[in-house]
Amino acid sequence: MSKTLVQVKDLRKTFAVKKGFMGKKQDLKAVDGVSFEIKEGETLSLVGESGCGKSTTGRLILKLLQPTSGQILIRDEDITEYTDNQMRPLRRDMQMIFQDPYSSLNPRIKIKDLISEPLQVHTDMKKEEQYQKAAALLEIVGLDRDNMEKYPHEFSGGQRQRIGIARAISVHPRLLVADEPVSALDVSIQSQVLNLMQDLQKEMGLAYLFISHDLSVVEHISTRVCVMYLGRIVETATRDELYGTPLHPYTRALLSAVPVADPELKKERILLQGDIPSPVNPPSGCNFHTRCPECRDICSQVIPKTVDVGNGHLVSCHLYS
Amino acid sequence: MNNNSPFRIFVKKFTARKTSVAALIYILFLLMLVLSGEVLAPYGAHEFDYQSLLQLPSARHLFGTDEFGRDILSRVMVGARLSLTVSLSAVTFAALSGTVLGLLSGYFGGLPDRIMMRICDVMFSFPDIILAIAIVAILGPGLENVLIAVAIFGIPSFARIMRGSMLSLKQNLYVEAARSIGVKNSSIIFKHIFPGAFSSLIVNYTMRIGTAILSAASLSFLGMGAKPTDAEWGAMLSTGRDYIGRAPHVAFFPGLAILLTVLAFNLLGDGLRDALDPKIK
Amino acid sequence: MANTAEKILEIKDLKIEFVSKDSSLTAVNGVSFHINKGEILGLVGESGCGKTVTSLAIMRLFKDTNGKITQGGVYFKDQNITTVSDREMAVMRGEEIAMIFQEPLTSLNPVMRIGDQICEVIRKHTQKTRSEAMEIAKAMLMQVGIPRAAQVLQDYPHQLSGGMNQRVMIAMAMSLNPQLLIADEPTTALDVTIQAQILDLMRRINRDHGMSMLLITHDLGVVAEMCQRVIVMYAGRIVEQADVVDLFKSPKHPYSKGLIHSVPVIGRRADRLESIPGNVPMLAKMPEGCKFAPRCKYKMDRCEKEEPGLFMVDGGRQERSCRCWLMEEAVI
Repeated sequence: MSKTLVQVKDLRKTFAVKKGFMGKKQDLKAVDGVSFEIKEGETLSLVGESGCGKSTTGRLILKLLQPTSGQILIRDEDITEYTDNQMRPLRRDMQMIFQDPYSSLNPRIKIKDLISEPLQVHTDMKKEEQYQKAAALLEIVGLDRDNMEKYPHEFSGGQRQRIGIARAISVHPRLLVADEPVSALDVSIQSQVLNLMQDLQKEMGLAYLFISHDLSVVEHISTRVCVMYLGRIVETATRDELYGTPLHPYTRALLSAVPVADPELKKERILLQGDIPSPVNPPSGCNFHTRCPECRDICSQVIPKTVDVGNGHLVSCHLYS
Repeated sequence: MNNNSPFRIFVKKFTARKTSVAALIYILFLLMLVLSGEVLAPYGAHEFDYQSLLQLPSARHLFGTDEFGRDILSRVMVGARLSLTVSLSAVTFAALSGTVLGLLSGYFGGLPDRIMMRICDVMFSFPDIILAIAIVAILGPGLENVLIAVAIFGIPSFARIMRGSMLSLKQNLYVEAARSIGVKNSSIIFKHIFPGAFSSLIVNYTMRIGTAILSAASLSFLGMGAKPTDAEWGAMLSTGRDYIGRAPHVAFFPGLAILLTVLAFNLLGDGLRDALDPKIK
Repeated sequence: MANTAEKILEIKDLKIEFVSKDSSLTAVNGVSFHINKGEILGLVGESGCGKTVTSLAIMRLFKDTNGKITQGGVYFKDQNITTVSDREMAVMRGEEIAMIFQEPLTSLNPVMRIGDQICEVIRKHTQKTRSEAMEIAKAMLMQVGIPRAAQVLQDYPHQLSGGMNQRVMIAMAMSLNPQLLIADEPTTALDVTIQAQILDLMRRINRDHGMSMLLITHDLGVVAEMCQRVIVMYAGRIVEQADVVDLFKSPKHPYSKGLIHSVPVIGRRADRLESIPGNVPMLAKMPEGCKFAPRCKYKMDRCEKEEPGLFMVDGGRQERSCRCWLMEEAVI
């Protein structure tokens, strides 16, 4: 029975934005009451389109942003109000890999120093030892040892992403938050990096919080999936259940919208009308109701409760409550 | 050494521009004068020679002599030392203080940042010279006080520039990466962000030296800096004013020295800025 | 349905080079293909393969770069448009061939209202008055599924979402009723549900107006859904050309195979994705012989010395070719 590594309870993050030159301040509810857990060694994916809050959620868990309300627990330790200094020792166990391989590595620092930086912060290893470990890490991610003295601009996007991964795993974290780690890469390189991530997970028992908009990649790599829309989670389920029997109308529409690389596959297409609303001015009640093909009166008035329909499959929809 | 290092690329770009290289050579020559003391000067800076008053340039006195028979070439060389030591010290002090203030202010933001920016705004609204005169008026005349004045009014420009660099560099993803690793704030500022701001700092530094030399010379010219008998370019220019009609060389050579030196530092600054800019090939 | 007898666009042996003071880089070499009237042709490849450069060459949009067509030609309805005058080309752009790009916000003028931008295009090519042009603009916006067309005419691009802006781009492209639409990654920057709307719109336009399309993308899913025939490019060359069903069911070129098998497909579970080792070669350091050889698991000695030609492959639903020495033996 896997232990729970991360627990998130009713997490919220609101930004104050000013609209226009003289406009008044408005609230942007980037994350609006999100709850989930991540178990040791599993991959939980947060999937959704722009404005859904998945990247913000990832940053909240790592305390790169301060939550407005709610709780974050790491192995039952409540880190919600922790300061930078209190977080520092915990960061050894929680690392991040970023979407843009071109700006997540400091261009003025050599690879050997980039990879060994976490070792410098969290261990007592001497520089020599750190560099030896960094060289070994380079090989683990499939790059040559003699790249140590180079600078980031000498590498391709896929190679830089591997370097970022080497850096993240250097201190043997328990959790890796991966924010769209392959979205900026070419298709044939994406699979290289995904395979690497899966191999590392097996060898090191890593848990992933995998943030992505790409449903095909998410299906391939996830244990469980949370679908987000405008700051809320609309459905949570195991990978097989979410893709096999999606319940929420948004999940269904999302899955049917994904272009599948199989020309002979006949698909029932659910086309949503209209655009994704702005998170500054979200719809009332269930915030999907403006585009939902199954919308009823109650949907625009009451926020649906989250219901467990069995086997840990959670849905927030009036059709099921 | 790695052929692709940022330093190699910088050197290549800098040396491609002849004006920058010429400026650098001139400045190195001046620095050599400064370091060699008065050894290279053909005469003493205070060596009177009543037989050769106000002599035009000749073989014996390449720049001529002044109203006390002193060799102007020697005085200009000694003056280089005065001008450069004053301006280098003052600007270095301003750079150090301004950089620390600007970086910290930009990184942490909040009320201290806003206060500091308003103070800089106030200081910026005065022309450099007025500020310098005000400070010297409070402290009294003399080169040491000129140094202090130039140092103080140099701080806002560095603070502003470094704060601006900090605000833009702070947005980079690699800074967020450093935070997620758990790197301390001080390391983030000085290891990750400052190197990116370094080029702005260096460019501003060289430009401000030109300003400082001009300010120091101007204050001396106005009689608030060096004593009139000091071998300082501004002071020499001031006394040379009286002889413009019959012995223009007395004012010409110190004036030329000021012109060339300020020009050289500006050209050096331009060359550095372009060589450091990754967008210019 | 596609009228296979009539070709609307034909590219013959196109070579595009980027010429600078000391060197010239070949971005595209020996590219030949055609688009049939009414068909949607997919041009697939990863970054650096030359697909965007090829499309810019068709439209002759090289003026601000140092790209040049150094060999071959582009024929629109049998007319060689590589050699027509700039003025004639300007007429063709819009009236005969239109193009839409990935980022609608950079293609639309941010300081002009939508209505004015569409009118400008219409009035440049026709003799319509301003009010006539506005009527056409409004009709176009409604055709592309923008319900509040009258309102949108008065809006600025930044007031609209990405999906709406892309619809505006399509409306503008269609306003002069061109015969060919070139779409370069039209949905890459859009969210999935919005992408579905735009692709649906494009399919409708192709079906109802018979507009031929060249769809350039790196997304194999989009290709599978939209295109009838596909061209795969790698390192500035065409490596495979086939009917879409043939390509996905039995890709012939090792690169196509690698690409298709490295993409996760919803519903198809694989433990591990196949991947293509190595990286795309840089323009300045192209290998000798076959450009894909360094990464190819079927590589033979010959592949590193001689670049293979484009061999015809039998048995396809439509004309099929592959640039690989493995295909040299004729398939009966």
